[in-house]
Amino acid sequence: MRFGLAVGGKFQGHTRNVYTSLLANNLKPNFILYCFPDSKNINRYIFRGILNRYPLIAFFIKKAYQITPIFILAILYKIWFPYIKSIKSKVYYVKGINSNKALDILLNEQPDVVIVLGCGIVGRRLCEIFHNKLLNAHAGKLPEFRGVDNVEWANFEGVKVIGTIHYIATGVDSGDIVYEQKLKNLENPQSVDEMREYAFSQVFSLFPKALETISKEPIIFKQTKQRTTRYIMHPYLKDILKNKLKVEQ
Amino acid sequence: MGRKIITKIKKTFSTESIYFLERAYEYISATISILNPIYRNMAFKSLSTRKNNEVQYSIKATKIFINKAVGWILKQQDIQEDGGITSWIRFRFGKRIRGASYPEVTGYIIPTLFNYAKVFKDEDVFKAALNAADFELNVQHKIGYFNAGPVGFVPEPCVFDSAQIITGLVQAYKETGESKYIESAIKACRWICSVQEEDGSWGRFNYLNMKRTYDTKVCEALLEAQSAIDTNNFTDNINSNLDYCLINQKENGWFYNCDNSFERNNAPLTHTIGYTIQGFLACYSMMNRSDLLLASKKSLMVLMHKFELLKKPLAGRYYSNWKPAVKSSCITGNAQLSICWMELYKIIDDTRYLNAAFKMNDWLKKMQYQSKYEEIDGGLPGSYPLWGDYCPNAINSWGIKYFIDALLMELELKEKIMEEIV
Repeated sequence: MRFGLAVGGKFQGHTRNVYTSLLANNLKPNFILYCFPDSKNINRYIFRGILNRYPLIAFFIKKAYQITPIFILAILYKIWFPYIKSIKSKVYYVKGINSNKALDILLNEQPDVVIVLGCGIVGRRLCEIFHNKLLNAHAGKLPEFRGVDNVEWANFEGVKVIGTIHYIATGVDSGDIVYEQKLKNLENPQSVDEMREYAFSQVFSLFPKALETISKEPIIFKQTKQRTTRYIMHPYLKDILKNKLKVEQ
Repeated sequence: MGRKIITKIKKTFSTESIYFLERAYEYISATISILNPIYRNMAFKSLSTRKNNEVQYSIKATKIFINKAVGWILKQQDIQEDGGITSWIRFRFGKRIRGASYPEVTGYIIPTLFNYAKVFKDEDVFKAALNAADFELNVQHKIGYFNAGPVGFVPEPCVFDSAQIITGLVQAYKETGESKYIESAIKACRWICSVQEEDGSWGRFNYLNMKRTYDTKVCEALLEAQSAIDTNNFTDNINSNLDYCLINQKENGWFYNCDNSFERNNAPLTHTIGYTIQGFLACYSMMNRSDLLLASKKSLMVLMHKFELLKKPLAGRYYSNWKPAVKSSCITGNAQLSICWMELYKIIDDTRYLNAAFKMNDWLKKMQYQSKYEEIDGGLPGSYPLWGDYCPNAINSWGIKYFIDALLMELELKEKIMEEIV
């Protein structure tokens, strides 16, 4: 099976864990598509929203970023994150997963499956061209827990957290399910973030099993079209969850 | 004279031109009003809230916001000599205009004041609520109806306004046990039922003689009145109107005939959408008709997803495909929908609605004026921004009423959830 890895961010933490867990299972990606944020999202991903306060500076930074050639960004990236040099797969660099260049690369590579990690929202065009080929990990049972903060929501409602690997479709977490597994609960978590991190580390380790499932017998569960998306949890409800964890301990 | 001129203008120009002229008038008025320091204070607040600053969400902070808003309402009641509550404070070309007492608004502020008095154990607010109820008794017509609009407005009977007042009178009866309140309420109910159309709607004796879906609030009032005296005299009238309102809902949850004007009936206000859903939910909780819950859920789900996805308040008006019809937000409507989300959470226990309501309340808290000027301190603008589509350049008392209701409900739910956990 020919498969690729499309990643964004720093190629550290979960992204690196996914890569190493794939190698450990003798699953070397045929190529890696490294996605720098597109110019619309640089404020969000690189500057953490600080530029909202300075619209003029933001405008110039966006323009400068737009005209910067990718090879310069790639050189800078290799200097900041030398780990990337040790990767033996072929690495491509693009600005944004929804860019034309990313599409060209994916069309040339003709992968059976692409694991997508931290690249932002995948656009409709890519979802439709690569229907049931783009894989995503989700910490929550689908379709009941779509959207964000699902580890928190599941714990708030007293439900088991389930890790799911699913195909990416146009709706939020609405693609067909490839693999799902109950996640272990962290014993005596000190904070909500710690609990969340633990859940995510388990979810990302499900990729090798999901790839194995796809290669052997591609059992796919279709999802219902109900609107079950959950959104960022209000800080008061997070406080309640913290108290709940304390009480349970 | 003024009305004659307006009627003549309306006949001469097209609807779109009139809307454009109205907006132009408001913008010019707003620009000149900048000369007024109080208006300036309000306008700058409207601009500064665009910043993504944090808001206090603790129970203690919520109580402070409620106290301020109730303080504003009480101040407006003190100013009016008749015991009623001011309709609005408007700014026109730099001049501050205070509206007269508004029987309808005073009527439905009464339950809010009683609720506050109960939660905060405040005798003065309890007395203020009773004063407001007595004011209603004084303005009631001997046949049973109440007039539309503020005191001194065109004296025309109005079904919707009468119904809103009934809720206040019923609450006053429940709190005091004095028969004068319930007698007055029942008289109004009988009048309302006597003028109902065959299809279940109220056209005659309603605002602009329009049949409207937000008359679900009339059903709510009739239900409250009949449950207070333990009869079911009005059940048939209620059911027939609810059926009429349900027919007016589109498959996607949007409502036909839901605006309080003819010309903008294709894009109703979130305020009147809020009324309709509030009426449905209240009737559901008293009658247990599942179709009402389904209808409410349909609309509330669309609006909840819209609010959460866009991460900004709901628009002031919506077209039939739920596309926003104006750029500004109607603060009253947002507060009402927050209440509806919390009501729905109580019924179906779906935390997504509670989450959205808490976030909406946080935004509403940001809108409240904390000012050195007494006239505006504790108040909220009609629209965001201040010069927006709904109640432009004004503070409307009913918006503050719904703000208090939303925060009181938030308080209740926060305390309940915390208790459950601990």
